[in-house]
Amino acid sequence: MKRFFSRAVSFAFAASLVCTAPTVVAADLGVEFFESSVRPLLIEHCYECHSVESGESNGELLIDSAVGLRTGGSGGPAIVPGQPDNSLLMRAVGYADKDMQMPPAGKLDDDSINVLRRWIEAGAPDPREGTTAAKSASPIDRDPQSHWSFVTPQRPVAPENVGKTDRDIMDAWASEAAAAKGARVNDPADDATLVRRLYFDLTGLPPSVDQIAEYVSSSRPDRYARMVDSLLGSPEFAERFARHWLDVARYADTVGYDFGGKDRRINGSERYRDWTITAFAADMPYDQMISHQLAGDRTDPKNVDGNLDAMGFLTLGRKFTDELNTTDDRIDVITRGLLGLTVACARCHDHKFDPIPTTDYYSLFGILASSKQLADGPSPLMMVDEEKVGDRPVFLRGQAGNRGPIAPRQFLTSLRKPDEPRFSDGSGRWELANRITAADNPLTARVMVNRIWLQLIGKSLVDSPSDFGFRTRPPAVPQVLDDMAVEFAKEWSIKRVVRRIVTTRIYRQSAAVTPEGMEVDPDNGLLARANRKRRDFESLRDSLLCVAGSLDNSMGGPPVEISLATPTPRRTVYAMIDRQNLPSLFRTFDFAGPDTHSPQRYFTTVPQQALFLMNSPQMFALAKSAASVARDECGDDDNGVLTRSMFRRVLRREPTSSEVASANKFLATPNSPPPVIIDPRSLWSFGMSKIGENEKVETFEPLKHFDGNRWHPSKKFPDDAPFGHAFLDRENGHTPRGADAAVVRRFTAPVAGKVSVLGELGHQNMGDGVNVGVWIGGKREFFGNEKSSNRPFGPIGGHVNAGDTIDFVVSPGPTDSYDSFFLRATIRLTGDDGTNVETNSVKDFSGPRSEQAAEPLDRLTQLAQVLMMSNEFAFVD
Amino acid sequence: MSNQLPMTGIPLSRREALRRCGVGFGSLALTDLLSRSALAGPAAKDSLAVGEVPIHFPVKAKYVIHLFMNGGPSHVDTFDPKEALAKLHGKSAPIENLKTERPTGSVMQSPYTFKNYGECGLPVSELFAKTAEHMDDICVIRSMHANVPNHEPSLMLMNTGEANLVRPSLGSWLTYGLGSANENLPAFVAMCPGGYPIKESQNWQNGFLPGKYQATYINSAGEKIEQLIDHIKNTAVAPADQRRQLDLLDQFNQAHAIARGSDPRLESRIEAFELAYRMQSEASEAFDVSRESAETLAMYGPGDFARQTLIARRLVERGVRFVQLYTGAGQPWDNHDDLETAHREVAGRVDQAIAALLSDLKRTGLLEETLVIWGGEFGRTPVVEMPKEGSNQGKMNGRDHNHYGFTCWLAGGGVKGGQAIGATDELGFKAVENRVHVHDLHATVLRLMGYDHKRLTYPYAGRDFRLTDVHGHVVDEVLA
Repeated sequence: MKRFFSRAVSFAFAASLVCTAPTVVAADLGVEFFESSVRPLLIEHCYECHSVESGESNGELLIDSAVGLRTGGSGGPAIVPGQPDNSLLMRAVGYADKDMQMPPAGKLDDDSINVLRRWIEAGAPDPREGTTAAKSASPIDRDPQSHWSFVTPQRPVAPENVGKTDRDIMDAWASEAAAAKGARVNDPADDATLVRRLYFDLTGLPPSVDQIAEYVSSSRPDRYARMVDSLLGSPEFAERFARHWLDVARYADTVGYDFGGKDRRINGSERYRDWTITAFAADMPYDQMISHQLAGDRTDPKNVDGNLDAMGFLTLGRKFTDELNTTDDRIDVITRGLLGLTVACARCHDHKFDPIPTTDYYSLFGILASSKQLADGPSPLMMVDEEKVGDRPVFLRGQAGNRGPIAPRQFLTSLRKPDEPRFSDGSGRWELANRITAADNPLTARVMVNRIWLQLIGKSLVDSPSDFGFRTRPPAVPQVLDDMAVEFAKEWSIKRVVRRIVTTRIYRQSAAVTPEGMEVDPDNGLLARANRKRRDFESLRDSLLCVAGSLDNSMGGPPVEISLATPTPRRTVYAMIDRQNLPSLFRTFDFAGPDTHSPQRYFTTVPQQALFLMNSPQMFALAKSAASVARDECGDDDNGVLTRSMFRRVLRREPTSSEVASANKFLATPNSPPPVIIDPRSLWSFGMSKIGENEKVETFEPLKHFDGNRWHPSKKFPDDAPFGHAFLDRENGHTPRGADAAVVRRFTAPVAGKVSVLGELGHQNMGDGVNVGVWIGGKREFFGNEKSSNRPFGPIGGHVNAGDTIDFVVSPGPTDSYDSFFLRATIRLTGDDGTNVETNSVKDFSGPRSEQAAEPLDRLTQLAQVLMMSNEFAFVD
Repeated sequence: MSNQLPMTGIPLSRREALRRCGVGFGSLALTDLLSRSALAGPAAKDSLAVGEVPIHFPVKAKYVIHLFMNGGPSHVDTFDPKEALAKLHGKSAPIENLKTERPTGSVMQSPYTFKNYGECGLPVSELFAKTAEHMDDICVIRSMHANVPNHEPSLMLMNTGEANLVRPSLGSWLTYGLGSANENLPAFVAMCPGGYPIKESQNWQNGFLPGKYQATYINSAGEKIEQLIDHIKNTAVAPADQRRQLDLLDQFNQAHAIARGSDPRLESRIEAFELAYRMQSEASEAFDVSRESAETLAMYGPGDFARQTLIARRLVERGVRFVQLYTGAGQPWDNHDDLETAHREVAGRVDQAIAALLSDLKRTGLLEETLVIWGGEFGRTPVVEMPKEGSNQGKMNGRDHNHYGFTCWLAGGGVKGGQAIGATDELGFKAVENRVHVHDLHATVLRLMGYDHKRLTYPYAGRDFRLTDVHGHVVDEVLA
């Protein structure tokens, strides 16, 4: 570095002597000039975003050392000594380039800019050395062994003290770390809380009241271990953990977009999902799971044990328009999913932070490019080796036409030994699987136990579960991760890891938060308390089905639609996942995007979630079902008894006395009139009537036949007397025969309120016209004898009760020929309860409607819905 | 979303969020944050109304309405007239006949007449005669270019800056960065009458950003609010009873929260129910164009596109950040044959409404803070497309896709109107002067919205991603 520095300076001096400038500064004077004028400027205006000390290197640029300035950041060298006009720094401070103006707070004054210019002209003498030198080394040259996650984990040294409540050596390390930081370890959670927590974590479902009671009342010393074992043995455990793995595997049932309306369903996608469930149920060792998923064509070539289906891990990705992106997706799911390394970052250039050269990417690329999907094999998801396998060249800058050196098929540089043989067995997928599961691989076990920990504890030990690269810090209590990883890699038993974690004091402590705890350890890195968890989408939906008594616990099979109006009773893991147009229900509840590998779920709080719970037909059906089961279970109509039954059903506990009081009051309040039926078309009916004085409707008879455009009294047209030409369409009509008969366009008010009617009517210019009366409730508010007219009417108005009608009555008058007319009306109803209805007789005209009136929820059902929406239901302590 | 710790989802207080970002109060426009919060009402107290990324430049436009002319409108028939086409009609092109999606033949003149408009005197064809009345407010970019002549990748490029891989859309980036200014409505809305454009919901996808940054899609052929927003209306519980339900829920939730000390996530979820309750009426109101005056309705004209355009104005008025309007399902502008009648028909659906939108925004002063973008995923060839069996069989009266050169225009917040930027060659085949790639357009849009496109980033899979990836230059001439 020194050499580079001095060469740069002397070159710069030569340049400046030749080309410029009166302000040449002698070398020693230069350093002095730097110290007195330049360094203060840089510190004041630049270090905040570009220095090691501030921890910021925006644009990858560090300005706090000579090397930093000369090597520069993502935009190239910041200065070219001797050439201010070619120096990025001058361009930035000059503020002429709108894309690059530094410092961002405002342009420097001219004197300061001049100082920088003179300094660069003088060759930018700069005595600073600083730590930036390390940064100038390429990440590729970094020693992998200098980063914690690349060092094979060893059993950590045992802790010195073991606390009274510690149940596992992991607890002792955590207590030690907590004590060192002054954090107090929480007390154990109470029994009922612990049962709920364990059921949630291991099955995604709530325990029954009896299951809770059995545990709480048991005096067996092994009651907890027995509960853990029984849940680990349940199919629900396998379904829940399989779903966690499906996030890793970016599982979906469709390919995404395909051209020309082709079928997007992936044939047999569910085989992979069901294989995953079976593997978790059987506690298949994780190393075997990996082998099957990468090389099922070797481990079970005829699919005798179903393990060929595991290759869906590779083949269930989105369909891309070119093979390069398909392969990229597979490289990503393998490396981030299994190794916690972001190898896909090295597609176009060497990795920016980790020792992963581009050749590593193309080593894996060669392996996958030497494999192909075989649609008509024993499994539709399988891959096999190509007949011709071979190494592939690096594509420089990621561009296919731009070939670089050949990248031999082999394992990643930083994870293989220098003298390791290259892959030569077919494509190399099998060898790759073996290298990923090898005992000395420092990442595979750590990454997986960290994922399991994340699901059970609610927060991962390593912050970024799919990136264990150089920028990722070790966990606050590193021994916990390493001890689990070492243990896991012995037998690769996932259930054993789960059992160990849920047995710890760390898992079993309470989630209570104290202000002191928040102060000392806001992120809970010290594991001194449990994390309250929110139910994920699957657990929330499954639990709703469960408390409604609707859950269908059958397993496996083709995916089912779950976004229909009526709830589908299957568990959510069996839902059809349409990668292209994922229904909003999934997105609203933070389902893992199925396009790429998903390291962990987001948990957002948005009103759309509440709208689903408040207003969806699915929720109505589930609440009705829960209410009906609760009613049956208590066999009583007493509000107090019903309330208790409902709490036991939904929240799986007895209500407190104040809850009983509130719920009783709620149940005792009379139900309001049913809500306004949404569709204004249903508010209109079309009929004929005998009329009395002032065209008062006396016998409203609905018109019986609809021909597609018009309502008629019967199929026959014109019909016999007295019907004649009578009809009504969206705005026209004809009267029946006889002065005492009329056609009636009728609006029925759904709620009580004030109405206002505005309309237009008219009659063609022959005969004696028609009589038009508009009755609102019991009053005639408008009358007209219309002949050769075309005019607006209203606004007229009045008050109506629910069920009252507004009748537009048209009769022939003295003679019944030439009695065609038109009539349009807009009705605005301002309900006394705040409901507003606006309807237009033309827009809302319709033929026969086979609509079931939405059945209003009774009070008990409304109570069930309230409990199902509650925070207590959505969160697990 | 409030800022959350991973997985635990514990929202950070604003102070805590700032501390973690290493940003002091002084360096962030806190007053801006607070004033936005105040506008958004009680909802904003948990920082929902605040975006995730502080702006880098003064904001010129707060809202975007993107008029997406899907299918590819012909630029030489709309905003980029070429006299040479009439002269050379029927003759082979004097320049290289560039390779497009399908075989093309001789030069085809525009069937439409052009006129100069406004003080700027920019020429516009009869297809957009009404929009043309606003030319003094419009900045036409005639030198747009993209990568390939196919719809799917070009739609993805225009919407997400990446033709093949799954990446967040422009609207997702902006709502991620700036947040919402009205928590009772979705921040990013995409409307298309009658169904999806091709590529469907990928056009407004959130990619690796959290799911809430994906647009809420609305089939604007529906007229009723319940057809427009999921679960916005309740069919089974009377409003008064729903209020009683929520009061009871609140009572239970408060007791639950108090027993657990302080957990902001519990508070947030309590608040979300109240938000949802308010949204039922506010969203209904926002989407109800019948509340507009008869004059306004007449100004926008009939049809689904007009209705969705008017809805767009109502949404932007209420603080919705990004509204994208597609011309129609499929690809209405993709006129490989019968271009004269087909383009006339499609333009007829949109011209009046677009002109009305610009008038309306101007009248209300909203144009100053709203960026209106017009354009397709590419343009069309100046040469005729050759007939092809099973497609435009027996016809030679349309144009093929053209990604080498096309037009889009911008108007509103921070845009210097009344000018044309860049130029295509003498036939309008290829952008030759001051070429503007889609990435450059994106960089410019972000700039108008207050962002340096190189610094609006999101960490994902080991690196910081941005809309423009490693590309993009701000087109300075656009900026007022």
